[in-house]
Amino acid sequence: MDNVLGDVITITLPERFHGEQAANIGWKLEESIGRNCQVVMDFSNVKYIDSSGLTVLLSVNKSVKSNEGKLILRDMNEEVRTFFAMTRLNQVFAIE
Amino acid sequence: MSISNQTQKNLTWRLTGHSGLIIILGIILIAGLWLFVWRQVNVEYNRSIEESSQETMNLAIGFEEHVRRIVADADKSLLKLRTVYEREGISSQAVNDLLSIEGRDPSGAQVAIDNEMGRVLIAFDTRAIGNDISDREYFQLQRSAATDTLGIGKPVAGKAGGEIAIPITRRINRQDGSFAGIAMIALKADYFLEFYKKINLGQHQLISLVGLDGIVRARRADDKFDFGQNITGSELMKNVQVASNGTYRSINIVDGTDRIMSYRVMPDYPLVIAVGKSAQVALADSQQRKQNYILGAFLISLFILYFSVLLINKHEKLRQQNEQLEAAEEELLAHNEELQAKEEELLAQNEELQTKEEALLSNQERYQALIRQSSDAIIIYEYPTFNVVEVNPSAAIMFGYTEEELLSMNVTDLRAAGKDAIYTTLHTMKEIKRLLPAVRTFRHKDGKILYAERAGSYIEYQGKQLALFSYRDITEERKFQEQIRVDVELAGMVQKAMLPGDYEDEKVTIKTIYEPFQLISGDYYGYKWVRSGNLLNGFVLDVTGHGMATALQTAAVSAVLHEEIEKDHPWSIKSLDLLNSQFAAYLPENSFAAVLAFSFDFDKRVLTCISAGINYFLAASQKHNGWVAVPGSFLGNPDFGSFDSMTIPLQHGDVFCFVTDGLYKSLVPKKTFALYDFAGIFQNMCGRATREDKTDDCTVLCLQVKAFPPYPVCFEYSQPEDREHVLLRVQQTLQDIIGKVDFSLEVALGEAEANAYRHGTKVAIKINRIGDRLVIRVSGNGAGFKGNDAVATIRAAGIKETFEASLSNEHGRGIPIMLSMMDRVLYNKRGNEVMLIKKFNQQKMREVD
Repeated sequence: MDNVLGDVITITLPERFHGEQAANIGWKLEESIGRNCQVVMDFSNVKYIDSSGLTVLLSVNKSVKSNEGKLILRDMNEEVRTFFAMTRLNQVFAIE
Repeated sequence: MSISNQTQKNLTWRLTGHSGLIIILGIILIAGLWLFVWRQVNVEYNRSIEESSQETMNLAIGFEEHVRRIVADADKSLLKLRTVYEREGISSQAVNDLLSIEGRDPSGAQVAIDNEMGRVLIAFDTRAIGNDISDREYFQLQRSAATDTLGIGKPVAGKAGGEIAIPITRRINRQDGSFAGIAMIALKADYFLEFYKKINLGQHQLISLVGLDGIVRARRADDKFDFGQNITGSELMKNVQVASNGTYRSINIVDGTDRIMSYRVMPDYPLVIAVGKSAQVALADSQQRKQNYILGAFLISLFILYFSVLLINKHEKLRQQNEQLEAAEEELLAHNEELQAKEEELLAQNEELQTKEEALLSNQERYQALIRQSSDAIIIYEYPTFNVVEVNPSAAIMFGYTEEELLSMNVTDLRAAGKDAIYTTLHTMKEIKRLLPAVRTFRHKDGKILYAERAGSYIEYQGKQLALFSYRDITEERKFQEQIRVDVELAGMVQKAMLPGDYEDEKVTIKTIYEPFQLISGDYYGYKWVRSGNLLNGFVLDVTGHGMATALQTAAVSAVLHEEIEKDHPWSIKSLDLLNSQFAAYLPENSFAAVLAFSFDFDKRVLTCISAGINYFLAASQKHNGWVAVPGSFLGNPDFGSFDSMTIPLQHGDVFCFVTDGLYKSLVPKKTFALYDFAGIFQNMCGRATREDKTDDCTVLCLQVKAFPPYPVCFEYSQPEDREHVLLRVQQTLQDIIGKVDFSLEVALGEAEANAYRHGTKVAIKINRIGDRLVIRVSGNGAGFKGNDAVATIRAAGIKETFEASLSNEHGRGIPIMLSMMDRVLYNKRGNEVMLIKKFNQQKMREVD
């Protein structure tokens, strides 16, 4: 975790968010999720994401919601933002 | 007066022993006391249980007699009534008289005769006449009974009076033996329990009349009357199964009270009598006594402990006094011994002084002789002036002065260094006592600089502080060494100058590293374009050793290898075999050469490598992503030459690095390298080759193939650690072909590759361009699936709609993503290979071409 301040967890994702690396980040994150916490995932470095990355995000979102928390995805580049729109997952995630 | 040692020891032992004895005795007394209490409590507990058991059993016998009498009387009346009824019929006066008599009995609630249909024909309580009792269990039991037996039913409420009663019945037969009805006397259930008033077992006492069927006929506990419970699984019924009478203790299944129970099974009737006394009441006295015992034992234990501690304290004080006495006596003895020792020491010192005085005189003579005869120059300076106080003839010869002249000089007159530095060194030597040999510069009388190895010692002699220095003149030796160094440096420069260096053209980029361990190297490399620039022959060479002889051997071997690479054909095992026989002359015993020979054939698009002792090279090609092993023995022994060759197909972007042993040793722990990053890997190797702590010559020749178009190309991997490198190389290739990073293309390809990797162990990625279309084929060795069916289903449902429908699903987006991002997605029949096609801007691609 980049930063854990109170109930807010901030994590900066790597350039390529997919496969085992993404899964590892997801597992660590899910272990840190607490009641009513807010998870902020910084996409400013992400240049590549695929369905395995989306799977991790959906799993984290599920854990956050079951703990009555909130997941925010921020600072996506245009291509990644379009990718979320194409897969309609911009309706599922809070994207800033 | 003092006590003897033995006596004191005995006393101490006795005192220490007494303390232990007191503790043990105390423990035994307390343990014995508690053992007695435990035993007494158990005896009293058992006695209370036994008394209560006897008491309840006596009452059970009485209760049994009470019940037996009531039931026997009822049965007798029934038999009489039945006999009269069978003989005289229902309307006879005798029957009515009997009903009247029995009905008035205080135990009875009802007397009646019922016909075979269960209709009440006649009854003491006339309200019951005409009632249908065919549904009653006691009636049904008698109707189905095979013999004439007394029936004792479960308690029921009378249909006429509603009073709780236990029906006692007998079957009435016709003359032919068939069922004609029943005669019944219903006994008040609580009449059985009148006996309760006669007993006094304290609070929670219990009497109970239970059928052998497990149904409570009547029960009274704490003045509360109840009936009808099913206690089949109770402790009482379990005990009845084992013995016809007995005593036990249990928690009652009905009211949860812990009781001591006695029971008896009635021999004549299917009934069980039970009388119980509350365990709390039964054990009240023994519990009270138990508490008294424990309190008493606790107080006595405290007293024993207190008394033991008191005794131990007294003994401890006595022991300490004894020890103090003992210590004082030992101190006196020690003082006496010390005085004797000092006296002996003084005598010894006196003798030693005499011996030293004699030895000093003898040493002085020997020391003078040694200094005078030494071939090294020796000069002694005096602290703190550092004037010369003694010299030997060798010093006079070395510095060109006479001994008299030297004795009038100061240390600063002889050293070719600053005054402060010289004094600092001498003061340091005084502290550390010794200066290790080191080369320093000095001045000869004629002004020339002398190089000398000097060593120094600090000594104190006859009350003086002295610095003794010896000097060995190495001026000539140093001149000779300097000449050799210049020669070797020159040889090293010549070696480097002969190397071909880096190279770049449209076919290849060659980058080289040549870093000798010392000034000259046993390594070498060479390459040569032949066959009109379509064949590149080369080699890397590593001869054992690092010295001048090794450099000469390297030069000789490389000259022969150079001749070979200039020939118009690629390396072959045969050519190395032939060369090996020639090298025997240059590589005598205990020296040998390791070679890796390579030929890049751009006509046939293959690389041939032959190993002769350098058995590894790095490769990033279609099937390789790291170290490639090639067996082969060293050159230099024609009798044991055994070489192997390896052929690797070439494609655009392939990278190969040929390294000698010095670099291989520092690189080999890494299994994979990002070889697609040609500049990066070369920079990494440069860093390693120029490290100060390297222990061998380091030589590298790295080559990147640029000769062929960037497509078609194929990359394969079967090791998980190679996967990331292959993907990055694929990414680089795609950028080379389409001239930019394309997010959609990379994601679609990534989905296809991830699927192949997930379901197999080997993955191949083929990239080609046909016109303005980029064609990628991703295959794996997995079982495959019906990919085209999946594609058709998604297309039929609509890609957008498919995404919409699976918003909450964590999986299943791979194929829709590929379909969204590629113009065409097509699977082979087996479903383990997918072809992705995408059209690109032709203009952009032409620019890349």
